[in-house]
Amino acid sequence: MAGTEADRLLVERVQAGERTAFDALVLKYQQRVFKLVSRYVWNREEARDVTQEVFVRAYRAIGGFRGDSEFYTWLYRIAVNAAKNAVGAAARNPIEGGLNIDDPEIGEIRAKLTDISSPERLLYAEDLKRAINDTIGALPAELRRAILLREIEGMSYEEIAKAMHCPVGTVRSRIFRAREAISIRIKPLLE
Amino acid sequence: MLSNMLREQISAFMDGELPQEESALLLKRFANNREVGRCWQHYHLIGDALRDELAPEIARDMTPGVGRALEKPAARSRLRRLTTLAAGVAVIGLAGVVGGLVSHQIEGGGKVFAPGRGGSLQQSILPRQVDWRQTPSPVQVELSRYLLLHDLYAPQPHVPASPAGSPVTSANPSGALHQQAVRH
Repeated sequence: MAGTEADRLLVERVQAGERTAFDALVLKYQQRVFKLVSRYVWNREEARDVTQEVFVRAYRAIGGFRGDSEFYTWLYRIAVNAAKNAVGAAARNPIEGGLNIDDPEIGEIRAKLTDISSPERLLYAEDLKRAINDTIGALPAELRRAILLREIEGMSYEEIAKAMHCPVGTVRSRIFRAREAISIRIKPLLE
Repeated sequence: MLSNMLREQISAFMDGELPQEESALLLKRFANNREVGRCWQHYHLIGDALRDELAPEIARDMTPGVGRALEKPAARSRLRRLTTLAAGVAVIGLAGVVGGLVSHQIEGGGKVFAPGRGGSLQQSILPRQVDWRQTPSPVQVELSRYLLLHDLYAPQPHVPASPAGSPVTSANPSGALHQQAVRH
């Protein structure tokens, strides 16, 4: 079940004309799409623009999305196409002309080179991860286990309840409390 | 400030574990409360970080940019619709004027704007079973009078010399337009 049920509901709302439901999808997937696009697109600003373009294209095409695949699978294809199109222009640049634009490894190498030139931004992401990991480490064991089973293992509440020998409602509460504790800790970093 | 109950609902919804009726209510809150979206964003960010799905630089909230990008084409299409409407009105107006002129030409027996070679236009387009002279509209009469006076009193346009053999347009004494080759 996981988050795909939420996606289905959100997509239905978007198809019914609710823009705020699409905003929820953007907020949910923007990091993943941005990371994916960044593997192809050299320039950070351009990567951001391409990511934005991915969501614009998705919004315009979402009327034709029938749910045959998961929403992210569909979005992933749009993102890869948009990233390749963006890199297509860069490939005409003599400096990058010899590179295979379809190779994500090339994009990753380029991204790492860019990271060196912008250490503050790299630290920002690393800071966030560290803050989250520190908070998780300090959580009570049952909260830590519940959120890791959910976020890392992708288990449903029912599966976690069986694994932890507790009711589903308790799982729901534990996961929420873990998220809330982390959210409070990272909030200053995000403002 | 969101209540704990609402935050817990957001948490359960993102995991697909919120009952459908509660989900519907929560989705309505997305539209009315920005805090709901922010909480949603932070919870997902935590998951992304734990799964190592973050780019080295964290993407900022992209919803405003996406919203602006989606508004642009809408504004362009509104402008296009207005332009199309204006063009349509202009075409209808032009058709009205041309219709009036043709009607006047038929009515006036080719006095004004008659083709250079006589009344062939009148013969070719005038339905024989309709007597147009019986029903001249006031506008047509007024327009005819104006055009006739204009034709009589307006100064003849000056035609500058043009290169040999090139066609120029001039008004003939009866007001009809025709093309002729200027010979030097």
